[in-house]
Amino acid sequence: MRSAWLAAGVVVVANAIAIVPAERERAAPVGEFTLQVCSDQVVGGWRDGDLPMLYLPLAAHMGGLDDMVDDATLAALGFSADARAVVGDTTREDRAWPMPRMAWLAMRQQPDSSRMLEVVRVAPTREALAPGAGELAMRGLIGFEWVWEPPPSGADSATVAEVGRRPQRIGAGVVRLLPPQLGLDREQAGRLQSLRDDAVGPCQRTVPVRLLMGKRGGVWVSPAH
Amino acid sequence: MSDRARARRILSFREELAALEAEGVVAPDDAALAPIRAHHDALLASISVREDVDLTRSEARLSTGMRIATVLGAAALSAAWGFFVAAAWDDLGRTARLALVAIPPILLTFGTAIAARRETSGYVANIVGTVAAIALGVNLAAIGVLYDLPDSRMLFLAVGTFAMLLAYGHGLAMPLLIGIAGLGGWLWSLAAIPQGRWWDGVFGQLEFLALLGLGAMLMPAITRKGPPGFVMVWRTAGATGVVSALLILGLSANASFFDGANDDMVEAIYQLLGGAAFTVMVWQGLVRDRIELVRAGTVGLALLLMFRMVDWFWDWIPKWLFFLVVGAIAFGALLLLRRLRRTARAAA
Repeated sequence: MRSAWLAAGVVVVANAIAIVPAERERAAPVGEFTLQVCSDQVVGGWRDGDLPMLYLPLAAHMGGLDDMVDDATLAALGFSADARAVVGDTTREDRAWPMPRMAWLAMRQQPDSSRMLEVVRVAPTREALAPGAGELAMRGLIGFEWVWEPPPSGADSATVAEVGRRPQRIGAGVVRLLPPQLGLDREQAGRLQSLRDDAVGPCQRTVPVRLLMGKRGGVWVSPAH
Repeated sequence: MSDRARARRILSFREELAALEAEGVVAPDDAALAPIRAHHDALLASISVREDVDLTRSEARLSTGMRIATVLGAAALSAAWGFFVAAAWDDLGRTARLALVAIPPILLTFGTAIAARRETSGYVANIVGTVAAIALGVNLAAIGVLYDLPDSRMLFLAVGTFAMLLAYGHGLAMPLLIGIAGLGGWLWSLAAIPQGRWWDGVFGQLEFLALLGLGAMLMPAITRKGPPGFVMVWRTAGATGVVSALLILGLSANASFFDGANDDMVEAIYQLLGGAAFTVMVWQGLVRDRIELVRAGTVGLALLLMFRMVDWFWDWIPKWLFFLVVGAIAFGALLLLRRLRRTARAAA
């Protein structure tokens, strides 16, 4: 029976390690963010009785995140000099890519009809990120990806076409948000149900959803949004 | 020698003795045989009390069926539990959800202990223990969903430790396999730390799987705890890890720690290393009488040869000729093995 008690102890400890910090974080949220949710962001739950989840849509960033993730930031995130050297490379075909690292992201929701979340700042810690009002602060994985050069602001069509013909280069980007989608309870899902029934097209109508943020990077839908 | 092996040897001895009696070499009422029979009867009786051993051929056949039923039962009940949680999840409040996923692994832990005590064959305890380990996996994954937590390597550690405690506490092979996979996955993920990768970013580097497999193969030499059958489980799991890792590394340098260096050279090195490692496995398996090593090494060599043949010849010789070459090589291997067997027999 001793091993059974030990195994039961492992279950209790594993649950406590997962639940206690999460409950503490939820008991004292450090910020909030109102997300305008449209039908595209309510995913899953198609089967009768199943609950959908709230997807956090990340906007593609023309030119990568190079304007906010410079070499010093990449170094602060822990990327080695070799890894950082891939930025700007246009010839890397089958060679290995540096693996992503965790970072804190400050994001704002784009005001246009796409309602995507746009990364505005990247930092290695929440303190360094110092998220302001109207910004969603959460963790994500920063890695490298092929990016297009953005055309100069106000460029004419010939310039845009010229930029489009340039080879892609490697830039920093967000590989994954942690977590990429949020759970909803039945009441929260019920409030968003009208979006699923919307026949007017994608992202035509939105419902505001209040997200709460924790000190350790937790993000969750407010119980009473 | 394990109880099971001793019982098997006694039964083989009895079969041979019966054949000798039928051929008239030994008289059934030979006085010298009576004390041997009585000693073997006493031994088998004591072994059958300690361990669930097959005392006849028909029992052995039934045991095979019971083992298959155990695996199927454990898989089906684990799937049933996972689907039940998914089906009931959305209709419950937070506290009820936590209770739904956290209490069953604890109850099943004690269920495993009771089953192991009441039914010494271990079939039922294996099923309950396996479902308990899967239930803990479901429990921790569900808590991740409930609290919107990012995925974590701790799930591997918790499930692996839990399964190991059940396996070694009650002598259960299936939880041991889950324990090896869980703790192996956790150790593998630790390789991400010095590289600064996210914890699952290292699962594409199969060198660590090969090293962990090697460690698992050597584990029975380090610790002798657990029933004798555990030795086979450790070595089989380890050999499977080593063989699969070296085969994949020989196929694609993308699965290597050295991805990004000269891919052709990396693949060629792992092909050579695989060939050498599989040969050593077969050789050591034969020398040390370890059938699991012989099987893993043979499968590895056969697959390595097949992959190389496809890589080298498939595109530039007709398909009929390709399979003819494969058949000729298999025939050559057969002749070589037959010659080795004759040599071994002559030496014996």
